[in-house]
Amino acid sequence: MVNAEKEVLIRIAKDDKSVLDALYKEYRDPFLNYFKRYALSEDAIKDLYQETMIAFYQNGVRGKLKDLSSSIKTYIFGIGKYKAIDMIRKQKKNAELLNVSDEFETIELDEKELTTEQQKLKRHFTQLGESCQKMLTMFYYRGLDISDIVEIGGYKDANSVKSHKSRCVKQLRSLVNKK
Amino acid sequence: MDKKTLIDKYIISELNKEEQVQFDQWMKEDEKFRNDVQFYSNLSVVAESHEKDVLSARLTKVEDKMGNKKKSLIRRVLLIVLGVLLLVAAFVGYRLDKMKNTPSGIYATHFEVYPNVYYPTTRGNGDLMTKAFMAYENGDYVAAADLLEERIKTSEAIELKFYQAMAYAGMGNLPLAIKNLENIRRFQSAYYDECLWYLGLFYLKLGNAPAAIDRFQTFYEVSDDAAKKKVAADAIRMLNAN
Repeated sequence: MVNAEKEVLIRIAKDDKSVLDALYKEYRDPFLNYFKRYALSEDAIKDLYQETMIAFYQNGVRGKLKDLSSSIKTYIFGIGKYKAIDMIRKQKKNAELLNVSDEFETIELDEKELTTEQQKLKRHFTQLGESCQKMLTMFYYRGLDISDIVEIGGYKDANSVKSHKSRCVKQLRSLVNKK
Repeated sequence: MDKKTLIDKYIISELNKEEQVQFDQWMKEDEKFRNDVQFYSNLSVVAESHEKDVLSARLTKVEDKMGNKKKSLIRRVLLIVLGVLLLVAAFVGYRLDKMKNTPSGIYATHFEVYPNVYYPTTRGNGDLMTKAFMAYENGDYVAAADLLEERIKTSEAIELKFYQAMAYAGMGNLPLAIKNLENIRRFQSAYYDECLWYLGLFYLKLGNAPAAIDRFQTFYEVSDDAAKKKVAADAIRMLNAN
């Protein structure tokens, strides 16, 4: 991996979404062309690309790309292959036949549908104010520690972060328990 | 370490061995702890799912912008092509208009071989006249001129000289055509007006302005054909202006 790509991954780890926009534009046409070989409609391939880019980006934000040895493109296309095969399998077609070996190795993802309880929690999560959503996202999605959040969120100190987080969790719990 | 902190570390997969042991023990013994772990684990999944929605909306906007940009690019290219075509059409139109006002332009616009209204070729008897006018009608002006020449040897009919002149003009030999027409012009035949008209055009084409003006002028005075008279008048004006 070249230094420029390492820099890209560092920015993704910091949740710099402008990098996602740029990568989306950069790999869009090669991706759409490559996945024409799969028996998917043009719209399905576009959906596949969007999901692939999001999965790639979220892996980066959650620190799962720290040890990435391949190029970003190889990794993205690997996720794309995994998702394409999954998509075709759901359409009850013989997806394994399409898992041809080429320069892109399939990258497996641990993706699960939300449980009923999680869906309910998500509805309440979206009812929270923006600052609470942001706080809980930094903590439970990005996995940042208190000191990072103090710096990124512009908080006075660790105690301010802790009390804000505590209030947000309490608010969420009360929304859950209200229903 | 308190239970809350331990759960937070578990969520971000940062428990060390000792903490893991403690975590496992509380998971076995403490129901509230188990419920809290479940809640925060769910919260982690939900936060990720919510962020996925945010990213999806963001990329949809990027995609729309790219799509619009491509559409707008195609539209722009089409407009440019249309613009170029209009410019070319305007230029060609302008050139044609300019051409119409030149001697060559007037000749090209208004010269056409006089149609055969003299000798019907449907008789099909294969005689010399039929052959000559069939060649004439078929645009074989060289053959027509030769066959008419053969016929003229025995009959000096003005009509034959006129059609021979047309055949000469058709094959591009304007001097010979003029010679025939000037001969005919001396007689007040049914082809008098046409002779003047064609002579005007032929002299115009050959650059003989005084002769062209003279023939057109006479044509203008004797003809009843308003359209051709206008062309003759325009040609005279143009030649005088030059």
